[in-house]
Amino acid sequence: MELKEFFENFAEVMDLDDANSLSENTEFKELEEWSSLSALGLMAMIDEQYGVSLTAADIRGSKTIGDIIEKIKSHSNE
Amino acid sequence: MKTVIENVTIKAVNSWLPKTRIEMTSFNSLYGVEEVNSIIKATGVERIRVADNDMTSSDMCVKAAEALFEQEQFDCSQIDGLVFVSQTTDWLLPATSISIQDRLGLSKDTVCIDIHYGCSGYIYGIFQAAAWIACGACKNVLVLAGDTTSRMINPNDKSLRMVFGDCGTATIVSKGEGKMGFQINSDGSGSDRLIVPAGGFRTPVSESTSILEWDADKNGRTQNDLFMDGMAIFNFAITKVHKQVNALIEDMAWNKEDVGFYGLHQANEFMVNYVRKKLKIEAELAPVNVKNYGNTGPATLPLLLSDLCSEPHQYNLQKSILTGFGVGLSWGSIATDLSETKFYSPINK
Repeated sequence: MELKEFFENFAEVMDLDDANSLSENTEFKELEEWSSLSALGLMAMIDEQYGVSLTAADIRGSKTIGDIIEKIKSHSNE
Repeated sequence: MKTVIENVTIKAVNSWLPKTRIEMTSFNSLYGVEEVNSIIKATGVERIRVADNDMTSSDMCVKAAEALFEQEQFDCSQIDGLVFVSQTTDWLLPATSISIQDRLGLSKDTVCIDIHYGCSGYIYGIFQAAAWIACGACKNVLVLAGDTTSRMINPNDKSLRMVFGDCGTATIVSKGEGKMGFQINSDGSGSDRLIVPAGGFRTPVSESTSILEWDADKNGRTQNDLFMDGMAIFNFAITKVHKQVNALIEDMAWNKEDVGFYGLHQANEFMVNYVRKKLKIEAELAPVNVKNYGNTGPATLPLLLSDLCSEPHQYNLQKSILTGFGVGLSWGSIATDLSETKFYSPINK
């Protein structure tokens, strides 16, 4: 997975102007733009782009973007 | 569960909408313009209909049925089966369908049943009707599907209040030339993901169930109100529904290119479009009509048909799919020919 591309996809879901502000350490739920709607957008984007259907528990159990990336990787290996 | 039932047909469908419209923009002062706009953008719901306080789901369905008998010039004494699909029944007991037998003046030879399902409920209703016809018990079954979901929602819960509307519908299923393929699946492990926790016998309504609590998205509700875990339902919908529909099409030995209409449960625009993408089909084949009505639970499929197929339309209904999914968790699909079915425009549209 291209990290830069993932941050860009993430920024698009969240309607953020600049993907450069994102990193693996970003605590995405602390972002002002985060809402339950962006959670659905995130699940849809990951399903579409990475072929992985994250569960509600995956999202709830993730604090940083890096955690999300780990979840995607672990599902990809299933 | 999957099966094919022969010699049944969906004869006619209509719907009855309450007259009161609630514009989503009327929530601007309550929830804030920005929040309201972002919810409308995601859900596609611009307005909903809500039933008057003295009107129940069965009242709306009875109005739809009375109109349908008249529109079809159908002698209601020919009805020998009645299915009422609703989660907002008139009483705890008796079954509401029994009272509808009397209110519609149906024969006392009518077999009546309530089916307590939501968004997959229409599929259950048609399946029940088809099964009664197939086993020789009935010739004409009236399937009523409707809910007053708006009344189960806490006013402080914007996530649900801006999505769910009320509607009642009526469908006549009869012995005929048609053939229906069914596939229904259940996953009760998700029963707490879309639920009204209190009010049944496990947790009766009490002072402690009536405490208003706020979630992280600033939606407020009590245990007596409808709760939906949007993420869990979304994950469910995008992983299960298309697989069932594809399996059904295969079981029917249909070519997917020949399917001319996909009636997908109208949860909200985002969900319908996403399920449609998972099905890899053109947008034209899977219409969305949530804009004016919202999610009307078990009524969305007959409302969609009555709304879009009553006028001259572009759909080839010879090979049609109907699919419902939600509370349970439960998902069900029907493959059948709807080209001979009569559809009547929603009353009060």
